[in-house]
Amino acid sequence: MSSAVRVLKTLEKARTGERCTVKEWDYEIVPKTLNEILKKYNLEKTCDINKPVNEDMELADRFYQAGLEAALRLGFLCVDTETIVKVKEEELLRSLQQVPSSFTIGEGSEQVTVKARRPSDGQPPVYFGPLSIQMNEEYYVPVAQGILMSRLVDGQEGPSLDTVMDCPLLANSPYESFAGIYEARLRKEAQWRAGRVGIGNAIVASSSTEYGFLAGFALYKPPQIVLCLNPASMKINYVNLHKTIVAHEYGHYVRTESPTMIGGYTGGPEGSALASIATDLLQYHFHGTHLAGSPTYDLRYAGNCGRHALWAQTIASQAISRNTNILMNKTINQVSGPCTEMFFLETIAGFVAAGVSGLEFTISPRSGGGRHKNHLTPFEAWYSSAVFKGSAGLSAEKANEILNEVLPKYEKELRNPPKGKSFPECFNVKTLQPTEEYLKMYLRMREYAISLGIPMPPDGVVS
Amino acid sequence: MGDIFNRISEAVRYGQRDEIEKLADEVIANKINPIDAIQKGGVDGLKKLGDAFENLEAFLPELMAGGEAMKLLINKLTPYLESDKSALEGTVVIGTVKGDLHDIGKNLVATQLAVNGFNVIDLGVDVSNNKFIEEAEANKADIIALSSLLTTSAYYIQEFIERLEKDGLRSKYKIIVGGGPIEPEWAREIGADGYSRTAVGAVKVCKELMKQDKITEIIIGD
Repeated sequence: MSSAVRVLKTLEKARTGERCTVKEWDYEIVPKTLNEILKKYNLEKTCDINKPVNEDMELADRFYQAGLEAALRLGFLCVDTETIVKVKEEELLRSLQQVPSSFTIGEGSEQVTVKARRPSDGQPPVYFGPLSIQMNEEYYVPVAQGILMSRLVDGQEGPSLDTVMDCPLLANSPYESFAGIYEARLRKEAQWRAGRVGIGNAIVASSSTEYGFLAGFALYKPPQIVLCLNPASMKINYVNLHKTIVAHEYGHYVRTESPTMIGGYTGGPEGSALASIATDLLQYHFHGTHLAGSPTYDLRYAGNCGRHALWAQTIASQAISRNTNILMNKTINQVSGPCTEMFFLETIAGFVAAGVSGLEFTISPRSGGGRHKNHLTPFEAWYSSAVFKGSAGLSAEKANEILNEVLPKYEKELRNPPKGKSFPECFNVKTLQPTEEYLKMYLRMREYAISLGIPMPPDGVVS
Repeated sequence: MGDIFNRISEAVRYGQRDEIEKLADEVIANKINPIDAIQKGGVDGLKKLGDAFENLEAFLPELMAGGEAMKLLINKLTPYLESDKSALEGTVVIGTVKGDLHDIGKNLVATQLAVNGFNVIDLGVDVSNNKFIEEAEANKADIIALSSLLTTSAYYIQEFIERLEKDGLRSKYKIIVGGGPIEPEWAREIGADGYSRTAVGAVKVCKELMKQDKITEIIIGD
């Protein structure tokens, strides 16, 4: 159990700290400070795209020290008050010693424990699925049921709803409140159908603001994981803090997420890795976070299965996992859709890189970059979880061998990825039987992953 | 002559506003054709900046600085153009729609538009449909650009277009839409004039929209 008292101090700092506009923060303070720190620690141009998984652990530790300095020099900007929220070194170091190194979620046979990992750790990470990919209302239960049929999937977050009882689900409106409640009921139905009563949840998927969560959370037995999404790395906002306070006080786990963008305010892969580390270090202190998440995406294609993003995300994960007990959640963002070979290749690269770099937890898949409605089926989740868990214990060197085999097969397509096929095009939505085409592709790509040296655990349904 | 164009190009590439001030004065004093200064100097600098962004040698802050330098160059030289027409491509009111706090994609589009000579009025995030209309009217906008990264916010785009129709304002503005969940088929279905997946594509679409008085078929960008 935890309390929201820690968050009161954050709120006070967000009212009384140094004033700074969002524009100054984004365009001047963050880039200038990160560049100074990269230079000071001799980290400029250290990204080696031939080794998308960093193999130099001394470099990872140097990034950690630099990230700590970035956390202390920058702090977070609260975008609602346009005020900088800072922490003193002794306070931050004390907080880092108190970070929870494990937590348990789910009931009975559905219980899973998320534990701190180290790079190349043999302990498998935890996988929740799917992400909040939008589905037609009538597909919510069957697709969620299908995904949960594999016990490789440890908990549920998505999908998200397109409508609520045929009404448009408008953000920041009372429809979101309704969606929070409605989604909870549909989840229970899907989990019961899949034989997964008591499974852990990441809530609420169909509502971006605090309304859906505040409306729906009472229908979930604590503790569950609550997504408190920040606008970006090095920033916080009131929406997130509303959720954080309620989650703590009602006995849930707080999962903060604050993405960095290669090409954005944090610069290239090195600057983005630095911002990601700094953000992860600050999240427990300011939010009492149980699961810190600052994933890195590449702005050029809005995913992170290309070389620069893979490198940035892995070195940031290594830095945190080697030097702290912070439990991390980072998203692996495929951009190709279901029933495409590229989806499986992106998954191999993204999840092997994450799994060998100390990541404890993820929620996936993001088939088609989450852009296309109904483009989500059970196979993407089953495959992602098998690769993620199968990568436990592999070395960074082995990971690079695998990545350098698969990356050339798809990296040129990252900016124009195949959309793939929708759920009803890939599965019979009543019987949940896959099409022969997709089943063959799935099984072939499982064999391919095994041939690369990934010990893929069976999904328990078709393999 | 080539030397001053090179210097303008460099100043835009590196976002040096002070240098642009001096160079624009030099262009005026030496009676150099302002269009040449903009095209052979400024636009060339923007191209170099765009290439640097693609190669991870320049990032969003540098794009922003380059865009501001270009805007300054255009503003300084516009009074000296032979025709009355502004060198600006047009005015775009842009924002992320209601309920959506994502800004980076919208900022990238806004920056790319500014970099490419548009007068950009950025309303920020979580912008109500009323606010879009008020600001478009106040700024005599040519184009309204609406961004949404959330499926639940995208509905507001549809409502916005319906609202413009209802208020008799639809023909006054060209509407371009974009963002993660927005698909070109949906943009067509709701009656948008343009759609683009990328920021660079959005610039091309906006330029194309400015050329046409009446849009009969949606323009789809990269």
